[in-house]
Amino acid sequence: MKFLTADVLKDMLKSTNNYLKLNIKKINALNVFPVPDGDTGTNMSATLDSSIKEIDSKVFKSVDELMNAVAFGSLKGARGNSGVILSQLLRGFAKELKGKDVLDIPTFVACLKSASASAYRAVMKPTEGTMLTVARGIAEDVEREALSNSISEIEELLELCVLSGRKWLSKTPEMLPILKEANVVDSGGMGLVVIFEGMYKFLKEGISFEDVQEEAVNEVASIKTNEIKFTYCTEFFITGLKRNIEDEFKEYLQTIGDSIIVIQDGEILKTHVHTNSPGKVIEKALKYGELINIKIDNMKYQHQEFVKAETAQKEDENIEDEMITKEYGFVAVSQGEGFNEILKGLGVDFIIEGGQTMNPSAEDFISAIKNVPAKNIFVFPNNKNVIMSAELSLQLINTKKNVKIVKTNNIPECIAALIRFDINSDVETNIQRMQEAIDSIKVAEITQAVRDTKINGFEIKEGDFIGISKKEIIQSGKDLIKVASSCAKKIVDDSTQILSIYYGKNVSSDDVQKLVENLKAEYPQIDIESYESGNDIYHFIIVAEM
Amino acid sequence: MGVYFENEFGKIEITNDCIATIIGLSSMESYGVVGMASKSVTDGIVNLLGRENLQKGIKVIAENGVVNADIHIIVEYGTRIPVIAQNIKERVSYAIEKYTGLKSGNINIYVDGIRL
Repeated sequence: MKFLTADVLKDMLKSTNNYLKLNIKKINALNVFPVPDGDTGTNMSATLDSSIKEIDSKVFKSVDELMNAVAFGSLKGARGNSGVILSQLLRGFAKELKGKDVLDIPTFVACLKSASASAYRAVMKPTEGTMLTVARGIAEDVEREALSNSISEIEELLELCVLSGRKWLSKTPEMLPILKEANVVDSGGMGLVVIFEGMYKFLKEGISFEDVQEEAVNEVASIKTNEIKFTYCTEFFITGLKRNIEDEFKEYLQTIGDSIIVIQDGEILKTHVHTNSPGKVIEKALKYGELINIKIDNMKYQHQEFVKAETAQKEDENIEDEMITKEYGFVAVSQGEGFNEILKGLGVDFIIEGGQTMNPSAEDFISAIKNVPAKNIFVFPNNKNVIMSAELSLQLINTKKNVKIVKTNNIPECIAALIRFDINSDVETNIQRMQEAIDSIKVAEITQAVRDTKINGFEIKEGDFIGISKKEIIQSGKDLIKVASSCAKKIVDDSTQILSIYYGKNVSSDDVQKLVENLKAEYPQIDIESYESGNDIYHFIIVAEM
Repeated sequence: MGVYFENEFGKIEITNDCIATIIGLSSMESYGVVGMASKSVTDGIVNLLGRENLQKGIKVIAENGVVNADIHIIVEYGTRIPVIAQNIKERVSYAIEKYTGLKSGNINIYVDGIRL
């Protein structure tokens, strides 16, 4: 394609918006800067979504009109830092299109440059290694390539944008130390790359992404139901207004409701009010003009639905007096049915579901501890990220029970500790015994990489298998069995007597057998046993015991 | 002026100036902010401030471990001002809590100018 018409560009943007929606979670997960609140993807998507709403039902004759509407929509709906930057990029992009009917390659190049420039203009002290860097990098790369006349099709141009975007994105951790620390790339930059990918996929591969079911936005209401003074959230637009009624309408609404938003833009006025008499509001509004997009919600009902689940949970926690029926109890965090069974068999009273990627909260620990009727309770976090919330729960909990946290980093350590536990010894001796047991085993966990990275001299691609031991990556590769075997090699030494293999949900029994046979051939003197863990993150967990 | 607290090693004082500098830097890095403003009483002219005296656009009242601040800024034309203000609030609160361990109270943003 040599140029884009307004219609094609519009469809492309719509598809891109849906593609961005599909990637929200991935982008959110990367968000550590400037505030690590995990909302970049949501914000960018909300911003672009607002643009699409602006253009959705209209017909545009020129790309100039279209992109100005897009920029205007993004300005209206901008959310969060990344959203404001995106809206500024779109504004810069649109500025360069003045008077153009179609978007051709030289214009596209100029637009990208203008977008980057205007994004930079709006900040006093730009932080490099962010979305801004990616936007500028793309603009510069594209401009350079365009000068050498090697681009003849829009598809090529977009492909270049995607490649250049990825290149700059991968450089962000080098520029912004906080990203490197967290071992992520910039989330806003990722969002931008996703947007270009969406456009490229649409044009080149003809993949049009459909609107996905919007996830309900859980805006957590902290108020109690009976604190809701006005029950009905009423929203609508009044159209065909001849004069500005913003102030007088607002005054009227103040007499019968609160949370009032009244905005007039030319002939249209947007109204949002919480009231007990939505009828009156609508009657009044009808005097001014015609109403569209009327929406009335009962907030008490919505709210009750929302808090029901919460309160049900809380009631369970308030158990009367603490029951004590035995001397020792165990609480362990576990993931996977196989592991749960093994741990229960070893005497664990309460299992908290969770672990890597699904960290239980301090709250979970508190309710678990309350549920175990023992005088002394040992808690096994079984993940280094979970140790903190376990410790936090100790500060929050109000109990007579003696709670000790055994800082286990994985489930095999917990198993080893439980095996060594002796019911006839006292608490201190047992802690010592368990710690010895933990120190005596070596564990390697094999999982799949969720993103490309480079660490410890290993170049890892998304989907590669990686072996982790003591928080470090010790092996990587495409072949699961090979990775697992060489991990086993790294943890086995002269003192190893038993090698236990816990296989996860996503591993076929053939693979398990193959690995066991490989290892048996390699180490005829070592006992090799395999157990099902049911874990869906770790394909294999290999444990070397003395 | 400022915040005092004690730990087992002795007293710690964080002055308002120091908190103002932290706030100034994090506001300046916020997207959409093109300058910090200082309104001098005598002439009422909004001045763009350079980095050295950026605390001037910021008034800090820190009491009982809570930081309240007024921040005077200049923004770029064509940006969504309420969102930018919200972003600054979030970022400043985060910076205060992260660097000083104090709680952030009211962070008021005054948009004193707009750059065309």
